[in-house]
Amino acid sequence: MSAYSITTRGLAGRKVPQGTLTAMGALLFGSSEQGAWYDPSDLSTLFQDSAGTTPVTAMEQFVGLILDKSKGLVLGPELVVSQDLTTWTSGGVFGNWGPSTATASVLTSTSTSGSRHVRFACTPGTTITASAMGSMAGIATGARLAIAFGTSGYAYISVVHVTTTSTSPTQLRVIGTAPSNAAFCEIVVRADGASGSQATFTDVSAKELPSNHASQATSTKRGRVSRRVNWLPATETFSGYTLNGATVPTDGAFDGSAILRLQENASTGDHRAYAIMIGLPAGAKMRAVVYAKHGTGNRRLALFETNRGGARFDLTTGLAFTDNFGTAANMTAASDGMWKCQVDIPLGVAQTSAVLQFRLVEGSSTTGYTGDGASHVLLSKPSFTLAIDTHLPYQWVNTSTDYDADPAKFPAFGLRDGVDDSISSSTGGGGAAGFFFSSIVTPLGSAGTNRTLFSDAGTNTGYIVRLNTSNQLELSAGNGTAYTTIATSGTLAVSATDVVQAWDDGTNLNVKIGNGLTASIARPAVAAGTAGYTLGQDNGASTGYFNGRSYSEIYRKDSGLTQSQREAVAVYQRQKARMP
Amino acid sequence: MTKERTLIVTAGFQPLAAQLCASLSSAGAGMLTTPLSPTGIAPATHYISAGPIGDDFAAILPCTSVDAEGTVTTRPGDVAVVEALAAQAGITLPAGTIAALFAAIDVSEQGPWAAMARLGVTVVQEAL
Repeated sequence: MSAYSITTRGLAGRKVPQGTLTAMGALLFGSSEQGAWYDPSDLSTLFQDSAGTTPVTAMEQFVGLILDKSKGLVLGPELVVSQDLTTWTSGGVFGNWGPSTATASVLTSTSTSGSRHVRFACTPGTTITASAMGSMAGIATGARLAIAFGTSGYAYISVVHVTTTSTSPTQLRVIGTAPSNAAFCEIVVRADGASGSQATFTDVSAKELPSNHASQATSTKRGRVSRRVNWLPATETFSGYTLNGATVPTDGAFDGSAILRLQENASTGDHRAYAIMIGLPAGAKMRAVVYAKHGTGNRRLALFETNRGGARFDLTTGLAFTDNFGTAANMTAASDGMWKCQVDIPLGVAQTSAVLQFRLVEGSSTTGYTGDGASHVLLSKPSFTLAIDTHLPYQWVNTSTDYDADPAKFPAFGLRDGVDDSISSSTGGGGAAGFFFSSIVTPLGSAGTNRTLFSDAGTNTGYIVRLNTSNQLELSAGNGTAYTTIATSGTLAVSATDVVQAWDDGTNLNVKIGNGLTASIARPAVAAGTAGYTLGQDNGASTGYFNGRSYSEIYRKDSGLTQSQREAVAVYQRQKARMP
Repeated sequence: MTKERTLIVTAGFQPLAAQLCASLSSAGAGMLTTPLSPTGIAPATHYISAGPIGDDFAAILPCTSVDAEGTVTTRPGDVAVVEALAAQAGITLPAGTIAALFAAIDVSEQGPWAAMARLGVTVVQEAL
């Protein structure tokens, strides 16, 4: 569902003012209020690079630019007044790009990498999106479209560009934001290559794309977008699993998924398949599920994590028996004679990897035995998910990037690694009259450390929202000399999901997790922080990295919103995360 | 195309490694800024970056792999190519510097948390 099509359906009992649940943009930003609205489920707002040249097209791709939807992604007026390249200025001084001759749409370099440009004034923080259909010909090595920013004369400070090597017309697009000292912007087209290189450009356009778009120029610091909730390396085959004393061929289908035949061989010892998963949230409560029934013989199925245990399932009687730390084991009769077998397995407090075993066992024994070479159990739809994701449907997995990413089934989230991932906007920070930030997050690690969600902090200035070392939500506001801080009494533990809201209503600083109590403290005379802000990291420092999922981030500058607005945001964000 | 890598470099080589990353790719500027130490308390003994890097960049760096049994293998980096690229970028280095850098940097296919655990370091935390 588009975020623009939120309705009041199903919300009548949630004490949300029905009239305010219009589109989020109109609700919070309808009167040109400053802020940001980031929606990782909207792929049209995501780009793999910070210059917006490569759209995000699939889950698990990294995000270098996320567009802010608070202004509705409405473009400004056309800034390229003439498509006729003969009216453009020859040369593009940035990087000594050379001169050219031109017809209306064909550029011919008269030295190395000939170019032409149009220039217009711009203010710092202005985001420009430029597009064209481009192609190269002859000896050219590329056709390039660029946005260059400068201060005055021919003093340039930054450039973003995109190049095609196609000889057929190719859509080119690039997005750039004017640095803090920029005074002009140039749209540049260029034929890469030696003198005589040619490139054709049509439909050249440049328009302002207002709002506080967030980007990350450093590739390793980009988070990814994901809908992955099933941690198993594969589900339709046991590719990537280790097999001991067993084979696992496919053997038909069940409910749209493959049936895997876990069959013992005649060896003495274990008869099992197991998968190793790393990067799990330490201490997380996991749920293992598989559909199973007897094939040949009457072996029981054990489903357990090597260090923490799990359960054994009697596929004849429908009785489940927990082992070690396994809890809530149960079996439910399903179609085609299958049993849905599930068990909850809490990981150890420092455990960040798991070995999930699908094992044949003899009677009540859990030790190895001599196989008969024929007995087998049929398995289907295996999953290993965080307990918070168990309300979601089964998710098939072929590889780490090929899995069921149906938007109708699974929420999208931004995933930050807690090591160096963050994203920032060079504009939109520096509020002092009020503040609102709301996100729905799932911390996936780094418990016991400060994890920053939003910051426009300078030196004892601006606002900081973070999960602190005690997993409390914390809002700090600086008055230029010191910070005033308020923290929730409740906590948001690792591998839990909830809405976190922090706001300055002009009287108090306030924080709230989910439906918990609001904690408040009198606000200081807030000193404005930096012009921009950072999400997922301390502003201007290489610390405070957030480790986990973020399904939605909404920020308002200079306002704490009304209670009904805050509640509407929380309802919207719960929907984005498909919270039950 | 990119490859996912975790880079952990000792503090002494961090300035050079960061400079080389920035010179090899515009998207490499700003790498290796997150401080690490064995206790999570400053001073930093190492610095880390984790995420996608260009295929060509990954190809010339060393690469450590850890298999399911925990066996660690390391493919050496291409010292000569990196020396040439450094020279091309105007970075003048005494002979043997890149080889020493490669000895001081751990580049792996592991995720950042697994790589840090293997090397016995964690992220340095700073107060507000």
